[in-house]
Amino acid sequence: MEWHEFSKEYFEIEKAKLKSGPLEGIVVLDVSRASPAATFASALLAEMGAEVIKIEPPEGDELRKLTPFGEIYINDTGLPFLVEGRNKEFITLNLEKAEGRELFKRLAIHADAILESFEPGWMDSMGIGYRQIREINPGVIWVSFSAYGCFGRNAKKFSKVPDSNLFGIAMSSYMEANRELPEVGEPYNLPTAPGFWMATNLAGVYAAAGVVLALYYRTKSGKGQMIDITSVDSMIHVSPSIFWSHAHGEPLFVGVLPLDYAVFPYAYWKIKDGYVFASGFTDPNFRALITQLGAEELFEKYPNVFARIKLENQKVLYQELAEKFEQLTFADLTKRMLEWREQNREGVAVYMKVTTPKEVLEEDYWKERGDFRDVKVGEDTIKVIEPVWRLSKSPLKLKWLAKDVGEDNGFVYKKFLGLAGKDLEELKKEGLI
Amino acid sequence: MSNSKGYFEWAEETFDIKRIFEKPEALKGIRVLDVSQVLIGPETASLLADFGAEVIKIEPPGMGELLRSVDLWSRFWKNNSVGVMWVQRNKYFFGLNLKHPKGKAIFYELVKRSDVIVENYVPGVMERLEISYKHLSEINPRLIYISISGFGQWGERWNWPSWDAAGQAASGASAVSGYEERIPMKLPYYPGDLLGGAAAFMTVLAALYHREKTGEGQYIDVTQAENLARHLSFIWSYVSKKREDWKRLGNRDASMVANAFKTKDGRIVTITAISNKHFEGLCKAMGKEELLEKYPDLVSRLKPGAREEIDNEIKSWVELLDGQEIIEKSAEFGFSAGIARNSVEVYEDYHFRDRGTVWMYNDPLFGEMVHAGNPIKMSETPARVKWTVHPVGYHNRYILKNILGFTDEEIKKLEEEKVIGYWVDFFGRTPPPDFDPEKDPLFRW
Repeated sequence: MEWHEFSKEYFEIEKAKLKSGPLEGIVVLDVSRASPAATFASALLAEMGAEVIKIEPPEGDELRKLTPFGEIYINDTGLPFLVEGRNKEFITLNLEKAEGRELFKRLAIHADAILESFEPGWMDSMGIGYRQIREINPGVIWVSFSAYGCFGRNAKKFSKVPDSNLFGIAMSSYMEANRELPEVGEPYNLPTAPGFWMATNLAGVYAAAGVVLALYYRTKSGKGQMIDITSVDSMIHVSPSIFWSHAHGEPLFVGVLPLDYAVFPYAYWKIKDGYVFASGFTDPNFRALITQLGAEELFEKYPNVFARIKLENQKVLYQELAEKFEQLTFADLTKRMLEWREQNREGVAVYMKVTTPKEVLEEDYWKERGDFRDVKVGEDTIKVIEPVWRLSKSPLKLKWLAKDVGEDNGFVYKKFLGLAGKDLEELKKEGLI
Repeated sequence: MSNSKGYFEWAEETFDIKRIFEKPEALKGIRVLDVSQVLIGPETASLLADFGAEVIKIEPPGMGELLRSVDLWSRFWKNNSVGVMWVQRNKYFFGLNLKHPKGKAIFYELVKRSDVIVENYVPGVMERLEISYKHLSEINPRLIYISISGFGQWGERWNWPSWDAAGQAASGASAVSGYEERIPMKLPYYPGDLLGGAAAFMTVLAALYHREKTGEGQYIDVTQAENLARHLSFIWSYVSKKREDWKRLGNRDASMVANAFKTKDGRIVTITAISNKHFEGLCKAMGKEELLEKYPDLVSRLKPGAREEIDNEIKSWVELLDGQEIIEKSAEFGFSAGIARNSVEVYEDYHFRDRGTVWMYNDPLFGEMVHAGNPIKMSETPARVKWTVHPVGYHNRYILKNILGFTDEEIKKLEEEKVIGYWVDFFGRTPPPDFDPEKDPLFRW
């Protein structure tokens, strides 16, 4: 049996449905407001099987109102909240009122982890911060999401500043690197953010990882702890630029798209049927690439990585290869790559079509991997992305999407606080839920 | 008791980076064999090492791993690649020939004593080397084995070679980035690898937690392309519902008031207002409270005409101010504003040094050194960077003696038989010029 057939058996999608997620039995309260980072983090914890209770103010989390171009709302909920509301339970609670905060405390006793995104210090000043909750729940894991964090010399001064995706992208120096060559002119040579929520989603991944790590440590020590997460810390971590400035005492020269500052060729080119990524930067790989393109004579001119990485040489080489690429389709390129491999020749050139979201949704690869699913929401059906990281024994799962504001009030308040029927009606009347 | 202190005073003390080395490490006692190279696997293993796992990086003797040949602008600071330093934190460097039968036998002995394997070769390679999950789970059923690849261990692209940008291209991440009339953006600093590493780290922790409860190890399949696709989140739902493709919008966010603008002093600032409170703060800062009356709720602000009007108002306000003035306003009025900073500005930001995000330390090989500190700031079990990359085989003796109990004579024999080995005198491989390994007790162990 070949490896791909053998390995597939570890992850069989039908069997995975019968297995439990790694965080089964863990209770998480997500009391964040208008926070894409916390919302992504709690979605990941919910995919891992935790019981995530999303606590909204009675009028709903404002994140529900976000949707691309204000176009698609399902049950008054925009797509970001709908999609990342996955597997969560939805309750309402008014934390502006003292009685609401008392109810929060009673819920917090049952929580393994609590996620919040208020201004640093606000929950503490209201008597429901980490310092107070750990007194009644010593094992609690508390995640605070903010822009500048809870510590560091500017934390207090900038505590009112909300975190955001563009903030993390810009302040980390990531945005500075993402722009075209100077000569192409504005706005294309100005710092540009990626077209998806990279910074806040990444902060969400690190936060979810931090919660699992803290849970692991708690099994050994019995101790809970607090975790401080920002999108800018997250983005600095994935940018190598500060090393350069330390080593060479100057800003890293970046912003050379479609070229690269570390490897060449490692770029996108226009081809007959769209755009392609192509690479071959070690000598044998470069030779493989240019030979497959019918330009092997270039090797003598650019025989090593030092010759190829020089920006002026990259520009010339890019143009010379561009003339070859524009005559080819992606199918032509893959055919040449496979022939090369079958002949067992030295070096590997890598090609990949720059695929649009619509194209992705039509490709067999993603269908076979089970990466997308149609999910019913009320009368509507919507296509969503599944958890994509596969664990053979304790798989992640997508169960449902965001529900209505307060839809699980009855269930959650009964389960954790024994409140039902009349009690809930009272709370509603007082504007607490 | 503790509440007598102000919140920020308490937080400074609780997260004080000067106290990190007095605190416990969450992954102490966990041993990881890192059989990966370039970025995604090495970063996954480094994140584990940040929190105290003992990570043994196994490289072929001589040239070692591929990324040692690659540096930003091929400049090679102190003989080494800052690109490699980036993702090689706190590891033990073992130059072991896995193709030699004795090398493989040593590897199997290590597997019996390890908790996690990280690898990122093209699927099928580990099986040919007889060190796939199939082989190793028989030796150690508690093993957590993560295979990271471009497209996965199974499915029609299972044996496709991949780099970060191939994952970007395949996932739609590039196609949604940049400007509609331009070539899609190959996003910088290799997010296919580094975002993938973050998720891979998360799954290993989930598997460790699962093992605490059940005693069983497991196999994990993480891919560059699928991980980036997960980051596109609601874009998939939008595209399928609309039956038309996503347009590249430059810096403008389609789902909230968020865009980038040019200041009086020529800086690029980002302005974001998600909630009503943030938008109110922004309008007050601009002296345009009538905008809040005109667009009182989020939904009204997202409509095509409204977005252009609001963006134009922000644009003409930003043009009159310097970048730093906008940052000051954000603190005063409570909206989100950032400057597109360069690497020196981040490096010299003492707020981020206080947070250990710009982590200054004394490296045993490189001396005064910086690292991008771990972004998960934990109060009880904080992450720490102790050292960065070492030459191939630097910790051979330390590993063989301490973990496997080899003697000096046996190690000498392994060297002669080329089962283990060290670095070659080639760019990107040698220690810093002022460092003498022969005088180093760890190397001479």
